[in-house]
Amino acid sequence: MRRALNIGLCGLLLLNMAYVISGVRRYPMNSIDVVGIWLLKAKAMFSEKKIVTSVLKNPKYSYSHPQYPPSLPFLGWGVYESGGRIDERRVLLIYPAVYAAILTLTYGVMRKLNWGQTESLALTYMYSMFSPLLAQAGRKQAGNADIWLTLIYWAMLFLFFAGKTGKLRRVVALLSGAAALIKTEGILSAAAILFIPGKRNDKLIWTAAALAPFVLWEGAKKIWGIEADYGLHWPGAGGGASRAAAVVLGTAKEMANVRNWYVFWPVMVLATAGGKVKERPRQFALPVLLIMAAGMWGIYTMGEIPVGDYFSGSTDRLLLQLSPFWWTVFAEYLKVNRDTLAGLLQKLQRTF
Amino acid sequence: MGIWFGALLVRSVQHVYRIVKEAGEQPTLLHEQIRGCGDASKVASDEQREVFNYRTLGEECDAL
Repeated sequence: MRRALNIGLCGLLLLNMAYVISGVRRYPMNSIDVVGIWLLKAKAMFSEKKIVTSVLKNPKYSYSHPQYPPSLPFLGWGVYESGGRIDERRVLLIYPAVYAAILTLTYGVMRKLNWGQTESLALTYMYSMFSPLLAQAGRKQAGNADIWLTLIYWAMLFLFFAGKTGKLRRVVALLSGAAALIKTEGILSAAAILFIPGKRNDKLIWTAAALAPFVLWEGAKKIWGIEADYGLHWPGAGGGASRAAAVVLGTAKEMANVRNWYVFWPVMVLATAGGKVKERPRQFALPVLLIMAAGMWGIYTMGEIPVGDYFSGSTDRLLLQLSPFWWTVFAEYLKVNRDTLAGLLQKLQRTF
Repeated sequence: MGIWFGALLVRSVQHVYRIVKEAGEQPTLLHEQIRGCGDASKVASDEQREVFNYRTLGEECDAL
């Protein structure tokens, strides 16, 4: 029976792969961010054969956020060069592969958390169905940056739980640096280094190393005269409180969005806060999650853009970025404190 | 969690339907199909103007 369940769950995961590939074929270039930010710059780089394109310095293109890190435009440029022409479909087809890698790592982390094969597949399937993930994997949002951060964070978690701490700090520093060159908030993942067991000096050295790519890009922008279209400022105590309230309410509203997250967030609250906690999970995913969430939400509180307009459109992608951490925390708590999933699987076995 | 899992299975069935349906449909909004500024007839929003800027890389659509 377990074997039949495993085959069924693998079939459901493969179905999702087909679903996102179908989405890339049917709905390419539907995301304005992909058109106006990431592939616009890739196209400019391909056309002008240089990194600092006229687009990055032209106020007319300020909507493309010239200050954003250059990794994804580089990737697009590389794909265009390899094909000798601009063909977005070739770039977008990378995204189902990213999705597949994310699901493989999700399964790997679940196994490292000592879930059985069937339960790990079930948890991977449940995670694979979140709409913001499916969207960026190919359903109308392929080409965006957030899913790359999701991939990087799953890789960090997998390496942490694989227990190879010898070179873990330097690998996580490398991954964190790469994340910061995809989207600026990726730099917050450098906090993960602080929670890898080891000497304090080592932690500080590798955290500084993780910050280096971010600092280099900031310096490059100054040297090349690339202006940001928005920045951060201290809104004052009253303004800050008002913006913070909007951010918290916006987040709560998104968490209640059943189309995106089903009933995950209420279940998450029950799994982590409800009832007695028999055993606390290892101190990695949860503290990193809390630090990154505080950093992201803090940035929105201090941003120059009106928070009401901007935040509501960003909450789902922020939650997607953080999903490796909160899904791991959920799976950890479920493992040590609840038999809910095991009970569900037993019911399924009895039913079929 | 049982309801959650059940809802996911229903959604997976929906995915099968969509995959089959989309197999027979033509893609929309490909790069080649994004119109240039010269085609003013269907231009309405700022967002669409941005798309046009993407196509033309600098050609201004202000006259539209």
